[in-house]
Amino acid sequence: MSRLRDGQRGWLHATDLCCEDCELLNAMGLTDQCEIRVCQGGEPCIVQINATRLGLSASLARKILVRPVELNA
Amino acid sequence: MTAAPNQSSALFNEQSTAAHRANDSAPRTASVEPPTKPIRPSAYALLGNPNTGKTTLFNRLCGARAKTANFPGSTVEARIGNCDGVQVTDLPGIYGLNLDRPESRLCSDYLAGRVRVGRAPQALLVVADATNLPRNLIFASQALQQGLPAVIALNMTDLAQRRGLTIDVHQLSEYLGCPVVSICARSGEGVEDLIKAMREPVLSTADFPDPKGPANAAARWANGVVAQSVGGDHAVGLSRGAAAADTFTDRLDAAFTHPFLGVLVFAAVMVALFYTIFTLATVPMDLIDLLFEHLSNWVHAGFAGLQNRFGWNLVDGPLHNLLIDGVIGGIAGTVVFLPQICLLFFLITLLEDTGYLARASFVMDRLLRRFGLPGQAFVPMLSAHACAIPAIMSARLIPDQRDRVATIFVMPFLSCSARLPVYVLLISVLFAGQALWAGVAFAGCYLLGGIAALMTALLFRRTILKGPARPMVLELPTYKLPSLRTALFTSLDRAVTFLRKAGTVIVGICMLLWWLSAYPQAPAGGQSPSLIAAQSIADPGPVAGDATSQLTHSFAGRLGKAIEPVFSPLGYDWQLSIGVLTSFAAREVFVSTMSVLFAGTDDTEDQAVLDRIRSATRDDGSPVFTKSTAASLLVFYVLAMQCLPTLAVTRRETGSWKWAGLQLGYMTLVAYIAALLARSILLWIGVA
Repeated sequence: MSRLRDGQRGWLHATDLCCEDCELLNAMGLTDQCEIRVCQGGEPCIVQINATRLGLSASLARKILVRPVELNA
Repeated sequence: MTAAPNQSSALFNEQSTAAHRANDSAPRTASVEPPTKPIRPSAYALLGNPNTGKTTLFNRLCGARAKTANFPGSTVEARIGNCDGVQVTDLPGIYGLNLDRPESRLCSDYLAGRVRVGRAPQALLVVADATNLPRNLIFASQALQQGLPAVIALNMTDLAQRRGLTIDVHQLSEYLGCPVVSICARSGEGVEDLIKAMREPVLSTADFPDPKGPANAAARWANGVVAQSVGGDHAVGLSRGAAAADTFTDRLDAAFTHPFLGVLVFAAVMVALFYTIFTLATVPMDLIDLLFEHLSNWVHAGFAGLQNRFGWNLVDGPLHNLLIDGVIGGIAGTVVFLPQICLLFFLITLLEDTGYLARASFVMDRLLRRFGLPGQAFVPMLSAHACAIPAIMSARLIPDQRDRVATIFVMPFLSCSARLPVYVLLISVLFAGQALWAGVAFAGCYLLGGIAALMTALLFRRTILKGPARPMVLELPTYKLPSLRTALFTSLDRAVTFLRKAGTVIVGICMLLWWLSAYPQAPAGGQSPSLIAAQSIADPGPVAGDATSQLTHSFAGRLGKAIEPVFSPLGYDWQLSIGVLTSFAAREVFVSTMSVLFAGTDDTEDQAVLDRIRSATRDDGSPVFTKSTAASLLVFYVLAMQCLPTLAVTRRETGSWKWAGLQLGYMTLVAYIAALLARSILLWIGVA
């Protein structure tokens, strides 16, 4: 996800997060096939999942694998 | 708008609350078992995701008469209030009941009856954000499986409407198997309907996804419910989890979270915040001082009247001195912090409510992470420059326990306003008539405190608070206008909590230190010796000339002499040692103690008194305040704890004396070593 540019969207594909972070992000809305929009890249970055806007460390963003929406469409 | 589950299948006409109650007798869907004889619950648990307006709703329901209680054995708080004769317990905002986080575990245990805060809940009031329904529905489904009847408050429906979402609460109610009430907690719209609905909560038997099952199943279920219940322009996107672009938020975020511009905005906001606090708090603080001065005078006059009438020797007796100097002085020393605490929490709550504070934490995270502190630590750290007490209390914003303890631990290193009189005295000794160097020294004191705080955070996060640095996961809530009502109630609640808990410890310890400085009384000849000594601790005022003899005769004075060998490597004689000892309760007392010892008065604003302090001599005739000794003292006071109220608040906020004791020991050790180094270096380069 850290490779997506500002404003670009992607579908969540997989994550390589520890259990605790994974559960928290799931509860915050990061679930399978959800659409993620990168509002601001960098360290840390801002992403939007549905109506939830999250500030995320780049170290977490690197562990979230997404499929860019453009490629998927 | 209120809706309850009924059997009218696909038709979900809007109904009033009265109509809904009338429908209770009607047949219901098979999945919902209506109570045969509805029993009105006497205790509700209020729960929901963070940033859903839960606290705003609680304040709407319960008003200002709520009280704060800690969960047993933890610093996690719940607020307990009363609404319509029913106890409502506002639980911390959580993202899930099964998460491995302290707040989630405590909420889960509370709902299961494993821990008690107030009465055990008999029903649930679940707050859901209408603008973010899928995520909130997942949480609601977990809550509704706790085996308690419930009511759902669908909040922020006005905002949802503005975003083009139309929510069919009747349909939603069918899916959830309990009443759903559409409200706007900020304006109070729909809250009356909610209170009515709370009289008859329903135990849902709807078919929910397993709360411990895969998150994707819960998300699919929530998206399905949204697809059936939400209409409007953006409903399709919402139900398929699309992240709609929000130009307004994007533009604000571009400024507030920009690596450079964001820091500038943050600095401007913080300067405005502290300027407001310093400016506005002065008036009530002066009034509090005046009030307690009058109170002391009234009590004194009362004792004098009794003495005149009955001939008892009461004035300056132990009871008189205990009341005036110990009790009133101690309470005055505590209560005087209140205006700063109230203002700080009022303004911080306003900022938090706008959604800006989360952005500020986001910006500062880049810098503070390098020292093992989270971005959320920055606001408390800035507050600590006014006073460490409200700063430590505001560290509750930090979610991670290790991060929170590390932040609390380093807070007293940052130069608070109470250090200023000490800095003024010692810098005037070091750089008399050298304004530029005096200014540099002032800035150096603040810098030294800041560096010590960051280095200590780094050290502790790599040793006793060691643990994986939690990567930042921070929800950035929607920007909105703040609620004055919520800010007012929050600051009131913080004030009461501070007075009730910290006040008792602070006053007790101040009384003990007063007693140590006032007894045993010096031989006859002095006027009101205990008063003189006590005033040097609690509250400056007129003192008589026999102050030195009382202070040296007291237990504190004797202790000062006993500990002189400890401080002699720093260049302190027994008189300075007494100053260090008496200022253990509060740093600023050092100045009044010096005035009492060297000038026989505690009028620290008189230039002649300051001159006499500067020219004071030791028993052997050598000057007390040499350059090296003054520098050593300055470094000591920048770094030493020397503030009992702060220790009491640390104990309260960390839940144990262990951290308060460690804070005192560590800071004293660091201060001692740094002061020794400062003096040694100055002596080595030939500055006596």
